[in-house]
Amino acid sequence: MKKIFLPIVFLFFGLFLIYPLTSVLGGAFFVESPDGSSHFSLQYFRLIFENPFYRDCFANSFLIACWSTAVCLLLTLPMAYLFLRCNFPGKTLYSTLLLMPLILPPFVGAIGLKQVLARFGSLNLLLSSLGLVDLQNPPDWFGQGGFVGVIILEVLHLYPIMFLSVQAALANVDPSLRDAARNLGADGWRIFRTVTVPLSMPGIFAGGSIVFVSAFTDLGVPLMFDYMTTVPTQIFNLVTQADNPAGYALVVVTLFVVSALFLIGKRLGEGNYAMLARSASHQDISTLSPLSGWLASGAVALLLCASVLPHFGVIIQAFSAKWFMTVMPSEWTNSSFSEVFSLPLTVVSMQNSLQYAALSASLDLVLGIAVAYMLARENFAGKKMLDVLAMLPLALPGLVMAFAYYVAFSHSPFPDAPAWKSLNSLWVSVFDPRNNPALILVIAYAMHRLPYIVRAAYAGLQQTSVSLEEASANMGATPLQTILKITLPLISANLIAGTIMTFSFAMLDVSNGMILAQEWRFFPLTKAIYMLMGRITPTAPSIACALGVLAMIFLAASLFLASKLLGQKMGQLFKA
Amino acid sequence: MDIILDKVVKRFDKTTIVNSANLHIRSGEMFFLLGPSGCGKTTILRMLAGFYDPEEGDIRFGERRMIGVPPHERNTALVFQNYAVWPHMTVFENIAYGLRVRKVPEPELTRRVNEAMDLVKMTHLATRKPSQLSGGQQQRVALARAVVVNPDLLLFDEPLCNLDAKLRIEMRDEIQRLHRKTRVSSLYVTHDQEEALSLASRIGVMNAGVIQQVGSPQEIYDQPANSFVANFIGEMNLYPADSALGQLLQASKKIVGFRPENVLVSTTGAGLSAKVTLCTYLGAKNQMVLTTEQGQEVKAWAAGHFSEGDTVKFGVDAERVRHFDA
Repeated sequence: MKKIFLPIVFLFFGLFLIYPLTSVLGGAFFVESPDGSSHFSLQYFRLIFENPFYRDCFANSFLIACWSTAVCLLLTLPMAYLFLRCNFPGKTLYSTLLLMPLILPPFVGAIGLKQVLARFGSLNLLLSSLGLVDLQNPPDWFGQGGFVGVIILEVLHLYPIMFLSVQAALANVDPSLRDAARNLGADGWRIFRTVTVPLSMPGIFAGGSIVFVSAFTDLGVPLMFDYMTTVPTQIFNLVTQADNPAGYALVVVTLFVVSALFLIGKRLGEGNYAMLARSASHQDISTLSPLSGWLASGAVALLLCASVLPHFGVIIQAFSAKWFMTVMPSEWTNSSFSEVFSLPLTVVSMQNSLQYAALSASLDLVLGIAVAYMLARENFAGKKMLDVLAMLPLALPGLVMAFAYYVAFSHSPFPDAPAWKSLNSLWVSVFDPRNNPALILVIAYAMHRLPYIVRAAYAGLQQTSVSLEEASANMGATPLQTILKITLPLISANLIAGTIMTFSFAMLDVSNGMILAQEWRFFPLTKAIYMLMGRITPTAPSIACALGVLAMIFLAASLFLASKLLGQKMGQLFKA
Repeated sequence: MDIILDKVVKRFDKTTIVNSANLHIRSGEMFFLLGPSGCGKTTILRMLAGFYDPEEGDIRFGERRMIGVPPHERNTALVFQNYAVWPHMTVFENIAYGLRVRKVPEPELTRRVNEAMDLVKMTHLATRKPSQLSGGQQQRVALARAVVVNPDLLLFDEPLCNLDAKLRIEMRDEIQRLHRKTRVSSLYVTHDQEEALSLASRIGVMNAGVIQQVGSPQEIYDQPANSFVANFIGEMNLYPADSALGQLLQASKKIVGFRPENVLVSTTGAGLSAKVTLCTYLGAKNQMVLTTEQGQEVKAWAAGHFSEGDTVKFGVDAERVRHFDA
């Protein structure tokens, strides 16, 4: 096991993680002189920070991320507390429905939300028919050229992740620590402020940084709003200009922001003693009085309604034949769905996405088991390093990785000399995403989700006593037989659920497909939706939405399947 | 099959866990390794199972050298301390596992598994999953799983230490019955001297990585090789040769000792004078601590009416006094 897999795994990480990252860092920090030599310099960073346009991009992205995180926290902290400590009508149903926003890539949601909230969208038209809004000067819900719209979509998409992290963090606080405070005379609010929140800070911060990073690096939503003054959209614009160093510098600065958050989170996590002595007493759950119970229920329902607005818009749009200046479409059709299955662009993109996703999920399954097994059961030099490498993709936003893959694999690293000619052409034919991005896309998807599978498998192995495997070896089973008959069956639920998640996230990934797939015959589903939205044919938005609806159904089904397999552990899949 | 450890040394990093151990487990005997936690006894067991290889020395099963032979090619069967019953298989499948690995044909497999289940009285639970079994029942499954493959060497790693007192005695009898029936060479590792004395053909007492003494239970108890063995198996009063009691007992080596049950205590008879400073009444006997006029303490077990503060006379049968170099 060790002898075969260790070199393969390290080669994989070296070629597809370290090499692309160093390519980006090299491109950002090393400036080529006219004589062909290169030297270390920060000049590109000065360039982007002295440029007022890029400064605006940073300010916007930063503000979008800050606002999204703050709003998410304000929404989820009381809600998580409510779900954890109180019973109220509809609680069980809500806790499933709260995950719904996750089944729609936010940039598809943007199409739906635009229909509802645009200046002449359903909401304003509805309000004007009620005499509340003057259509000569309708309110702009998306604010400042889409700035508010982006934040709304990020919040609606990301709050479930925040909710799960905060809830887990609160639940991990040893109830006896709260009891101790109560025993000394603290009231509920004081305990929440002085015991519960400080002790759950690492978890809350972890959830917050996922939201922050996702909002900071999300490419799809600003693109859909045509809100181009952000970091991700500029990186997207610059990707095809490999000689323009600004793209490198933007990516590296993004990387710095993310690493800083990660390090702070780690520091916070080190003092984490909330988990001590948990079994001592149990969570006390109070049942709310009917009135406050229904109030709580209503508040959660309101948030749910808001968060399904994009889905709602997408579904309606998919079935609409004509929807202009009316609250609801004036003509309905289901021809968009038949178009989805006949248009070459959509058919090919669905095939591509299925292929990419299936391949990356299988790759992850094999690599994930191998890495987790070696980390959990073997000893070798470089184990620490493997651990770091396997978890590193968590800290790397999809956008950064996609850019890194593009710059690293669109040029052969070997010298441009006749002796290297065959190697150079081999490199280009295998890796170059401009040539055929399939391999790199599969690897990008796999790399992005690998930490989740490794962690799922590792957790399974940790919970499985080694003596179960020893008992098998002792009974005469070869190492391979032991792995197949004892180890894998015992962790299969974790593995299957993790694989389903890889598959569905690969299906719905935005940044990799946007950046790496440049030719329509290689487009994944999401890029096809984006391209359709850019078309001026009147039916294009409906077809795009029909594709979006299919994607939604698909992701809902896989989430349902995964949750069936994982039971209560569902939330773990979304936590970093 | 004869199992031989020849000058076996095992180190983890730089710590020596087992230091030049020589052992000979005779064919068909139930050999016990007895010692305190961390003395290296489990390490020896795991080296025999093949989970570790020694740094030095040799391990032989019969004529076959075992160094470097992986666990699955050794035909040992280990009964784990935490049972290690596979949670995703039924009782039947757990027991059948070793036979399936050995590609035993189906009718024979069923017959042997049924026999094994019968042996440990688990037949009625054949289709249960381990989570539906009690600790004692899981241990029976582990036992059946080990015996069913006809191992060359049966290994027990403190198999009873997770069970309550009553079950422990029940399982002890079970193991004894099973061993009488199968006569498989067995190594049983424990820190419980009662288990060792009651079950063992022979015992090896270990301390700090070194085997201190090997012998029958009676030999170990009556003729301990050193003061560690003497004090680990049962209890013993031990005195340096130059102490008052040591001189009185005419110590011929560095340390002299005798067991508390060999102390004769009386209120009137001959002997040394001492005061009862602690007396615990246990029905059949009193466990006492006597303090001599020189201030030395003597543990003594005796029947009769004694209470704390009494002045008594005590003596020791000279034949029962033991002399140790260390």
